[in-house]
Amino acid sequence: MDDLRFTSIGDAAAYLAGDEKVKQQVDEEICCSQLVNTLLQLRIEKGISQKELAKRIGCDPSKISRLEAGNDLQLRMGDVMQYLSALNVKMNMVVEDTSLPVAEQIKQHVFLIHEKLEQLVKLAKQVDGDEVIINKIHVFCSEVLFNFLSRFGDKRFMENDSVIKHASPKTDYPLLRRRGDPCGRPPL
Amino acid sequence: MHDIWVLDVSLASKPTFSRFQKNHNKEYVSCFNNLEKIKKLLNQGKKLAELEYHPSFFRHETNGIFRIGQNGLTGAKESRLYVYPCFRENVIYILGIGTKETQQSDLARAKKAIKGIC
Repeated sequence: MDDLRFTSIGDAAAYLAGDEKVKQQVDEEICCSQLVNTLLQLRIEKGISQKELAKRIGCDPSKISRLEAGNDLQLRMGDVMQYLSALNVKMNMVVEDTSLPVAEQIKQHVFLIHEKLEQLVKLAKQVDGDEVIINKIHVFCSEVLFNFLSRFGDKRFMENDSVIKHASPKTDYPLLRRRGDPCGRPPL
Repeated sequence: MHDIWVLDVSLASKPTFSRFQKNHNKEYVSCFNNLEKIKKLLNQGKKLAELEYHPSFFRHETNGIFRIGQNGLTGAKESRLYVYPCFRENVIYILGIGTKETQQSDLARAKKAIKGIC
């Protein structure tokens, strides 16, 4: 009976329809529903009914029902933001310019990671300031930033910025402490 | 780590599904997309049959048989995909598909099909 069991919805749908083309259609529809899926999972994870969510947003439950039964192309940004806000969930958007040269794309990612790690440090400080976590984040950031700037950075920045290098007692990597970063943000 | 759910089509009538897909392709695709949403939740260990806050396109009909609807497509025929999630085996049995008009006969066939499983 194993040949009548499928892990892929697209495969099952195509088999039952007797048409291989259906697999692609279903897979594409699934692909276009990732955000809807995320919203639905969040709501269920938090144990909130459609009725309760609608009440929090101030809309009819049928609106939530339609949203969750649809795909991402049918979503409106305002509805997404209201939905998330009602669940006390924040949304961060990452915009990637894939037309940039690879080095610039890498730089974008490195600075995004840096921002996220700074947020992590702030959160760690809120939980009775776990110094171990904070120190590890500092070391990681320094290594990533230093190696990136060595490879891709502006040579003038590397020469003129007041960079203090000394060996970390625990690793073989030089620990970079800087007074400012290329984007003008304060040190960690 | 939860077990992955699989789909079993052994109880489904291929001619029924094939006919439905040819006549209502958008609804067909939409129903299976919504089945994927349910499967994802089951893969995360959610016990949908016990929850009050499952999505409204996923409704319990009778005897553990659920129906999955399509999205709000303009001019869409209100459609139902009938499934039976077996929590003992982590298998979703696909039973039938039809419209609102054929609901009674579809359910009768589905109830007959699940006798002896789970």
